[in-house]
Amino acid sequence: MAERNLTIHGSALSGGGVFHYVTIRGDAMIRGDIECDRLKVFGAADMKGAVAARTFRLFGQANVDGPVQAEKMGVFGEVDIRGHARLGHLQLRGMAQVEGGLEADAIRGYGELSVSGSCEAESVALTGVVHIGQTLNAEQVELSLCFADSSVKEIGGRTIRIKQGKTWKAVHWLTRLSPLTAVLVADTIEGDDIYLEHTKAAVVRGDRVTIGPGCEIGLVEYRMAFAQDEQAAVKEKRQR
Amino acid sequence: MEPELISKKELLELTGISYGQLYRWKRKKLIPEEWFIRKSTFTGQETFFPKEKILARIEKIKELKDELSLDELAGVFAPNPAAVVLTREEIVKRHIVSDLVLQWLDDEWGGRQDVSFAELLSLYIVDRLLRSGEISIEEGKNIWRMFGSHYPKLQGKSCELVVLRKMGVTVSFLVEGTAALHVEEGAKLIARLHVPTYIEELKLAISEG
Repeated sequence: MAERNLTIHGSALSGGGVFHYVTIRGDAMIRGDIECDRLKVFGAADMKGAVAARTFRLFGQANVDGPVQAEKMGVFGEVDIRGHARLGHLQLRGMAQVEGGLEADAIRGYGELSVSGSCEAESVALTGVVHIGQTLNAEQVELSLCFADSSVKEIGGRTIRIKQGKTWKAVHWLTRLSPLTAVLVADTIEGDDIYLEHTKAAVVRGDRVTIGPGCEIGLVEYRMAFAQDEQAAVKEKRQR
Repeated sequence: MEPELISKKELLELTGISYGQLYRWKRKKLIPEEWFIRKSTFTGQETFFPKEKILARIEKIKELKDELSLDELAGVFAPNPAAVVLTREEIVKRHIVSDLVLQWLDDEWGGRQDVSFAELLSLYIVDRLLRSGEISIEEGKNIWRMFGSHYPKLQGKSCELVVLRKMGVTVSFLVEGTAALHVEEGAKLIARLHVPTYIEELKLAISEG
């Protein structure tokens, strides 16, 4: 990696390039691809090009008009990626929006994750809201639904657990009068071990399936075990 | 003809693998995205696969998964051109190029068994030209030599192979990128091939075997 560093304080414009460290404190526009060891943004960054970094930490807001590649990415705030994201570890506190596909080893955190394409990871553990346009494919999926409804077209994996998230006391007190709970809407959910709460799905297929409270499922196909909460509605179930 | 399809459910029953395994293999790119064919049925959307291909692939994965890690396996199925080395035997078995051009290889290297992707690519392209009937065997051999000595220099870059003939004399060369060609009168443009297209074709031919 290059020896040069890029540091922006205040407001500035850069053409991008290859750097060791890139630090933005304030507001920057980067017109070009950027490649570096460590990219830190405190404030706002508008990047019109690809980003490749070993670590990418964002405190504030960033737009990336291009693909993103990072071994570690931390979002504390909001990121908007228009392109494919290939990440090692994604830590989310806030909101991440990807217009394209998202590939990662591990995704965890709180907030909202929106992916227009498919999201593939070894493990996904999120509390909050998830919107995935195509497939959420992960070895382990653990979603705690809260704040608002989530939607995923198709979920596939080994272990899938969808639960109702515990909201904080203060939020809970504010929303205690509303009868609404956050739900997940999906077309198909397929996995080996499946546990669902507050999920509306057309088809659920798996080896061991447990349908918990608040679910509305069209068809369940299971192989070894099936259990259903009394507060769940399952139209049809078959053992295969 | 449409290839015969198999539904996901039937596939799992037939092969004894679980949803988790199937999704893991897809994630690791052991099963190409294009094989997941989504169709509407009366129960909603269902996923189908080309039967013959997917069964052969799963058989192969099961066979190799104890010896290789999933990432290594992915390398086997998604050929990275630089890393692919085929043996002469495999090339013959998969009918990638004709015996005629393979014979050149033997003449040149005298019984070497391993063929790299770039070497195979040059044979493949010349073989296609020969089959089209546009060039003679002798011309093919010259094009093959030219390709072999110049192509490595622009490794990775997109290029075109151009073959010209005038008064029975043939000249071939590689052009980086795509450029407009303006050729003198009386010369005939025999072939102009976009090399990346053939790379894709060859990759497919290799991975389907």
